Amino acid sequence: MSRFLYRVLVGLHPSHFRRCFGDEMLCIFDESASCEVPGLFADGFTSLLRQWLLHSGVWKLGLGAVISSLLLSGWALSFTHAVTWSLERGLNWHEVLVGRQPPADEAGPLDMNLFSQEAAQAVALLARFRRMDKNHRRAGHRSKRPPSSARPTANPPVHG
Amino acid sequence: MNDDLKSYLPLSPATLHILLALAGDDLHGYAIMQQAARQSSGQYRLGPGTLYENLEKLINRGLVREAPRRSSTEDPRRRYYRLTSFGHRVLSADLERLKTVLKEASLHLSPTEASKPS
Repeated sequence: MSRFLYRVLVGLHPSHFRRCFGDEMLCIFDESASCEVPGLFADGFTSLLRQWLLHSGVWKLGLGAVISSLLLSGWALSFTHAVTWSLERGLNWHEVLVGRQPPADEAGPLDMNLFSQEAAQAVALLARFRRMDKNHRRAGHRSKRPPSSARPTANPPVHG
Repeated sequence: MNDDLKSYLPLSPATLHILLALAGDDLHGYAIMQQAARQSSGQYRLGPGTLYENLEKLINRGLVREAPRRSSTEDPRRRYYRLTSFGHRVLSADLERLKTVLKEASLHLSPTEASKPS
């Protein structure tokens, strides 16, 4: 069983190392006394880590992953701080991005009462404009009408 | 000391023990491990992973090369290694360096120095 495990451990080494020295490592395992087996496993694990991290170029990938994760975590941390900071001060995102400080008397991010009042005022203003436009059109239409003599009667006489 | 040797010094403990073991005779991996343990009175134990990692480095640098097999009755997986003349020079240069270190250490740690009040 321990030989099988050691064989697996040797098999996990990079291919060039395994091809060159894998058989010899197994040969040494076969010749070693049973009391030496734990030491061989410890050495095998250390060798495995060293071979993959230092000699096979995987360390470049590992370094890249570490740097990327550091950058990502730094960005996430600063984003969280920015959100917390803006929520604490009642800023909206435009103000956060532009960097404008709100006046002291300015309302919070969204005041629903103020919003509904302003919306009602806007609707009332639109209705007023529409009425004014209607009256204006009606007045314009009246001024273009022909004189009353030429106008056809509302109820023309019925002949016959 | 030659400039080309300086880049190889100081040797790591594993490299030093491997070169020392091979200085006497051509040896296979397990024999190198046993020699290293004997040289250090059992204090330094070289595992197969460390041994072959260092052997690969030494072969690539031209300090060690593979030697022919001694007998056909041996395990075919077993390979012998031999110290090259360049490896011999590197080992000698490191031993000279260690002698200087030992001399310096013996001067500072002599019994008269150690007994002096601080």
